[in-house]
Amino acid sequence: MLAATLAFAGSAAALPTTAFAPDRGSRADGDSLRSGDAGLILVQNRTRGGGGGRAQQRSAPAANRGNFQSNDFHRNAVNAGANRNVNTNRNVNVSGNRNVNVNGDCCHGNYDDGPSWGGVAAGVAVGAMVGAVASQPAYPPPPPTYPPGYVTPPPY
Amino acid sequence: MRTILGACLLAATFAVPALAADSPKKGSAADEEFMTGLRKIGVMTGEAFACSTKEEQPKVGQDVLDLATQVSLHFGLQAAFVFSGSFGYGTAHDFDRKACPQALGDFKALRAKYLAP
Repeated sequence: MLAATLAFAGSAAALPTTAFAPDRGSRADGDSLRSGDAGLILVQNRTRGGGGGRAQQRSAPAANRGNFQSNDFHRNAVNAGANRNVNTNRNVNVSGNRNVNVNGDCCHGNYDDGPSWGGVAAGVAVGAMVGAVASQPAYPPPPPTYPPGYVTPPPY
Repeated sequence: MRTILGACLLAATFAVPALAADSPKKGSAADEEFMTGLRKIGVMTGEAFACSTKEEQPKVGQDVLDLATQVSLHFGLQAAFVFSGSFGYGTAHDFDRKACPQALGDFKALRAKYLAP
């Protein structure tokens, strides 16, 4: 009886957190989201409507691609981010634990931490240009057009 | 004895959510190690793009775009923004080209793991 009362009290105490503080940052905790979940895209298409539908449909193939495991990706990223002192400890690691994969399953190289948020904005601009070049052919600019009244009529 | 046990259970019931609330949300912007790692992965993909040939770059760019889509779906737009920005930074910043084989190998492994059909 006591346990049931406490359990009810605990869930009631946790309820405002889930009800009034929506999870804005993460979807990784215990999620069952998989890249093959086309339902996510379909739901977004249904609920958003309007002009967003076409963009969502266009991104659906990318969403369905591969077997992205968010928990595994998170673990790799944390491992990559946690090893900031790789340079200072490199000799120790090499001599003692040469085969230890300090960076998880992905990044074996010692990569730059990347930009701060201001640099991120600049990087996004560069990335957007790269993405545009990578995804679209280079079209020539259209010929200039003028409003009808712009061109002066020829003299008679 | 039962009173003490009940008090302990009561304390644990309210203490555990409080402790959980202090830790940063997994995969959120407050998860500093995750965001740092995400930036490193983004820089790595950018370097892999810069190290690729002109013929391979569209494919690499498409793969990175797909990866950014996955990051946005699983971790939110903020994480995807940081990843994309780091990718752009990696394509443009000055780095030792001797690291190209390493970057290309890491990117290949990343692609095989998360984007394999």
